Amino acid sequence: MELHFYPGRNLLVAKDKTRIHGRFEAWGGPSTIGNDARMAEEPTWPGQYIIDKSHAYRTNTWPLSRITWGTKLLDKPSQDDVWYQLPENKWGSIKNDHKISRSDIIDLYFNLYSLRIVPKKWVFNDFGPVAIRWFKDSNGNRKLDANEQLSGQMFHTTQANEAEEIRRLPINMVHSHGCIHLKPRERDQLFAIGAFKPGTIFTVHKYYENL
Amino acid sequence: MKIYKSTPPLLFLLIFVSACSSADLSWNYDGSVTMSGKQLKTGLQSAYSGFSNGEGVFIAGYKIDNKGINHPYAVFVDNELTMRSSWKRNRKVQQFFLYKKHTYLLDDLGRVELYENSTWVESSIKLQSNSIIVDSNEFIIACKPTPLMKTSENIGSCYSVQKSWKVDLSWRVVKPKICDNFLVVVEDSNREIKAHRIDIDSGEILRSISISTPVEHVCSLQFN
Repeated sequence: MELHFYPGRNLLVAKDKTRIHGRFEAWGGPSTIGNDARMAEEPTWPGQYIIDKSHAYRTNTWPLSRITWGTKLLDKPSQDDVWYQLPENKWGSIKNDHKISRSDIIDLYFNLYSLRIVPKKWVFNDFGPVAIRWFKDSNGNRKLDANEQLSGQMFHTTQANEAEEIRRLPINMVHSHGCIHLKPRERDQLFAIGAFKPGTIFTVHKYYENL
Repeated sequence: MKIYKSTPPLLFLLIFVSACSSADLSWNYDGSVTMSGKQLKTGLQSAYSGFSNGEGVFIAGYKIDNKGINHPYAVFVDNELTMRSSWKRNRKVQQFFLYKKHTYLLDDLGRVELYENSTWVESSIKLQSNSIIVDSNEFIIACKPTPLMKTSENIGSCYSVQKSWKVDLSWRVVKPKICDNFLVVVEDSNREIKAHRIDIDSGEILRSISISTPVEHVCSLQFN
């Protein structure tokens, strides 16, 4: 199985030498550098890569992604706060640690699910429940060696698309900052057919290329 | 990062630290109002914003039903610690503010209502959704924070409807302030943190400086 992404066509193809296993809608970064002051959008860089691990991603770069998807929450309305679970049954204040208020959390959930509640788990991470990572394989052994590193670009869904899937609404796809956005259901299908198995060859084609 | 062992008793004592106070009247995050050691429960289970207009305190918060749904409310408690009014709202109350000697309410859609005869009346002032009022002494200066979501296409801004200016600025945590009759905004959502001093009549950025950390006391920033 190989994966081929055509960013100019918003198309991801899973295929082997004999047949195509599936075509999936996938949105990469824009074809030219963008102007987002927080972090400029960039193209999904063409090249051949190797799929590595899949995991719940966390980064300090984006406020909502500082907490891992699925982290347990405790509502503290009388403190205008929400706590999030830390290791060893400890809890941290989202207001103190991440400058996100209880009101912000209610607004976020309301915008996604049309309900003003504090959810039991963190469902706001920009990278969704799971990110699929890849790397440039410099020696061709299909393994992430010490001198190689995971790309900052990755496959993932968005919190908005996850909510749309749960609510059975049309999935409104948007361009990323360079990552590749997938539909939640299609991400699951890709996992099911083994497309994200570590070691899988993955090619990002140029923006003008087509299947 | 503060770490709490799940619900220590001491923490419950700390909860009742007042969120904001005016003269003797203070409102608390648990929705109560206290004055001279007496406490009034307003029915709100969570409060996040309060404003004193001299006659009492307006509080914005939520009542939470048995399904966990937060219903937005505004309440008013007078200076005698008497609950005067409670208004169920369709949208979240963003803020109360004083403008031309009248009390106004701003909601999260940017709608502004005037407090008149113990009720809220739609005003002609229209602001952008999710705005906060930074100043309303002579005219209104409002700012809109940078959205939290990565996929959002909008960035933050500050603007004056009456003076017809708008500046795009990616601020979020540090609230813009008026310092010595200038608007000071810290762009804390960019990789490079910058502070700007802005003319409140024209919206022109007069001076910008790079800073290493997003300071909270923006009026202490030196622009020279």
